[in-house]
Amino acid sequence: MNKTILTKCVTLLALISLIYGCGLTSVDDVASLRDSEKELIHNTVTDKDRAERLLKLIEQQNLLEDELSKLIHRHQARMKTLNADYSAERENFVQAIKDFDNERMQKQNQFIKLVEAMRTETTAEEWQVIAKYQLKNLSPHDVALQQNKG
Amino acid sequence: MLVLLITYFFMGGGYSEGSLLTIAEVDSIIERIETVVSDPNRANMAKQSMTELKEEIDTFNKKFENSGSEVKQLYISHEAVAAQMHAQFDKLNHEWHASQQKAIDLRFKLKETITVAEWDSLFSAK
Repeated sequence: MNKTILTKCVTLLALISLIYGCGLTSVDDVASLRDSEKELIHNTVTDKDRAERLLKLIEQQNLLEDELSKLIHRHQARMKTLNADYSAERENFVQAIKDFDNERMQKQNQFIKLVEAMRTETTAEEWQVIAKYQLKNLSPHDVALQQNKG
Repeated sequence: MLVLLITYFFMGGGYSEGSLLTIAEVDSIIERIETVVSDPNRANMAKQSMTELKEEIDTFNKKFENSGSEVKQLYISHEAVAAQMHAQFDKLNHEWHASQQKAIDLRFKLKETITVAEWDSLFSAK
């Protein structure tokens, strides 16, 4: 099996797992895909200064995704604990959702700012290549699953 | 269908990871209701609540999945501005909140039909 076919298979499995909520790739796969992303940036963004700045932004994006994945799983655990408790009040659920909202909205805003900064450092053609790679191989949701299962 | 992507992530994994119960969990509970709840009338009411929850999860997941393409285009576009992404997320946030509210309502509707012991039995198995 050549590398392209293998990559497509891994991506397909990741997508299936994404849709059905059971991650099949591992933390190692995420790390490997992130390494490939760095390589892609070096090959795509020919201006070295811009490439370096973009890589720093990507590092921040990865960190943000990791933080978000922890946040999601903390919220998930809290909701499950609450639900299992027969005596839990409606206010407990409302508060849990409110807390989760506050944190994720902050992260969401940071994420959008980062994307804007990345666009600024790239041409339209460069961004197309990088964004498509990210969407195809590094879906934040998929990464979140792996970070917490690995 | 290929991309649930960023929206999925920011909503806490939609219903798969970030909410009260997943579809698989709801199915498992529906299967066990008759065994756990001996009174047929209450068992039926409990099943009805769980079926409604499942429908709600399905409805929301479809809205979520349908948003994937739009979000993908926004992300890939070099010209898209932050306000467009904020607007898209705000729309989904609104849907997510409404759906969460319905899920909580149904959770309390279920609670009205079963005892503490039955509740523990249904949810401790997960």
